[in-house]
Amino acid sequence: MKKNEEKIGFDLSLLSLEELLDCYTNICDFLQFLEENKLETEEKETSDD
Amino acid sequence: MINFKEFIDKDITAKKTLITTLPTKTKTNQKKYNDQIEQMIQKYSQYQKSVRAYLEAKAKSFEVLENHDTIDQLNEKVEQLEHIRFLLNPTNTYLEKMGFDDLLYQLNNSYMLNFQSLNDIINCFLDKFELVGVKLESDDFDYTCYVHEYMSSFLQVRYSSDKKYHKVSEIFESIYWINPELMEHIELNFRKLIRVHAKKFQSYILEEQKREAELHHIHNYQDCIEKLRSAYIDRNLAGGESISDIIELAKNRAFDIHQYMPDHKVRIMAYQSLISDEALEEEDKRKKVCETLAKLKSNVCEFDQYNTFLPIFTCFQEEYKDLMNTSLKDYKGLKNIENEILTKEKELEKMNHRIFGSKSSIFDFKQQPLSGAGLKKLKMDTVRQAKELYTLYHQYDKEYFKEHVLEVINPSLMVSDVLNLYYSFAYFRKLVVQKAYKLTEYSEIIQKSDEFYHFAMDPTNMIIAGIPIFEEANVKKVIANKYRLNNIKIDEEDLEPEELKTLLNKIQLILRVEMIEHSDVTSIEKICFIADVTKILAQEEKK
Repeated sequence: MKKNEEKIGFDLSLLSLEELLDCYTNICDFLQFLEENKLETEEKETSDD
Repeated sequence: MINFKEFIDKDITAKKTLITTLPTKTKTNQKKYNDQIEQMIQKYSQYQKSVRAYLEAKAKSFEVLENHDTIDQLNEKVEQLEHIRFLLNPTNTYLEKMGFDDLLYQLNNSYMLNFQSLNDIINCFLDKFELVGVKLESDDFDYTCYVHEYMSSFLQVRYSSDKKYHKVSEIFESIYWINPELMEHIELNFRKLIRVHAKKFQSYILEEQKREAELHHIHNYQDCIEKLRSAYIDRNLAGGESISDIIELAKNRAFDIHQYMPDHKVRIMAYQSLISDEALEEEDKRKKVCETLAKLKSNVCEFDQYNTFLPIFTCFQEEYKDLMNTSLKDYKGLKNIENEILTKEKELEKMNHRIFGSKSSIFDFKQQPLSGAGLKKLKMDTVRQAKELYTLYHQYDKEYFKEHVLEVINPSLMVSDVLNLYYSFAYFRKLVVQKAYKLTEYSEIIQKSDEFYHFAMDPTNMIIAGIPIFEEANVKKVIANKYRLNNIKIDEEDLEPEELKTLLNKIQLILRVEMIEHSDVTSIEKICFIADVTKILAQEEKK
């Protein structure tokens, strides 16, 4: 458990089982959200500032 | 101080807001935007990895290990006692105890099998003769000249060092178009040889019975049945579902463990439909209810299996109900057929002698007193005679079983008595399965027969001992009444065949819940967690 504290800065053993599962689901959902919201690099050129 | 989940929820909300406000009009903006996204992905991938590792470790820590040594020992004991029971069974004869009936059935259905399987069956027959010190030679196979030709070739290969059975298949090819019933006649030859050496087989079985009974301290058949019943009970108790089994089933999603949570409607309804609230008030009453439900479960499983095999019992009723007016003393059916077979076999023997002359080289093809058309006609006559004998032998089989039915038949005959008959006679068990379920595939017949066999041999069956085969019996009412007396809410509708699975699921749920909640090694919440983590990991593996 200490390794987790070191890596993420939190003690996961303080979470209930339900909270752990919800937390993991939310992280996975957010990662998917980020992938979906990446911009295509070859977008139509617009004028720079 | 906030915990990790609170942190994540807040952070995700903040980051989502940030993403919507980042400018994306220019190429530079877009690059900065994507850089931000990438940083978030890296951070959250790290969180995902850490949390997943923690979930896996936590779920693993909740697993319960089981020691299977006891169950293996109990299984071994049951198998030993079943073997002794098979040997001591007073209902059948050396024919069944040697396993000849099983081999005869296979040979009978050889048209469903391939050539390799046929060779294996013939070798099994020969092995059994060698068990009693009889090494069969080609002159023992004298039923017809074709049987002799085939078996001479077969034995040559069997007794040689290189087992090249393809030579035998060539002989088979050459004979087949003249005598397509070759395998049937080989079967008859074996039947004759079994009869000839009957005393040797009987002595062998007697010795085996004595040896096994002494070795395992069994006094007689009834003693064996009692010991077997105890062994089954011990095995069922030890092998019943454990916490470890429940966890495995939950992980494999054999059932939904979330339905076992206290506030889930499925759990609430299961309890309410079977048990009154007052029965759960005290710990003693609760324990008693669980014991009763465990017995109900066993009875319902037995009843369910009984329903599955109803077509077999119906077949038995239809075929043998008229025998009730026949007395065993006056019954001559078997003896008459036996005499007819012996007469015809003597005629066949004379025909064979005429084909090949002297006894010393009965089928020596180089010394043929007859030739040409006369010889050909006589060979065909022997084939015709063998065909008639084949029909007679199958009538004999029917009379053989009929005689055994006559020994027990009476108006009060119970399903358990019929099961004992089919348990004792493998050949007829397979025949009735084939007929009752209209099966044509060999593998399906064997599978169904094996299922029936295991049901028939179970000494802990209780309900079937009270179900008459020739009378109507309301088994559902008998079961329902019994358990209502034990404060279980159950009626006949719950025991309709299509409702049995629902009833079993409800009983299973309650028994599992009680086991888990009385356990000090786990809880329903922990098992839910294990199941959810397993599901998550499985889904990620698929990606």
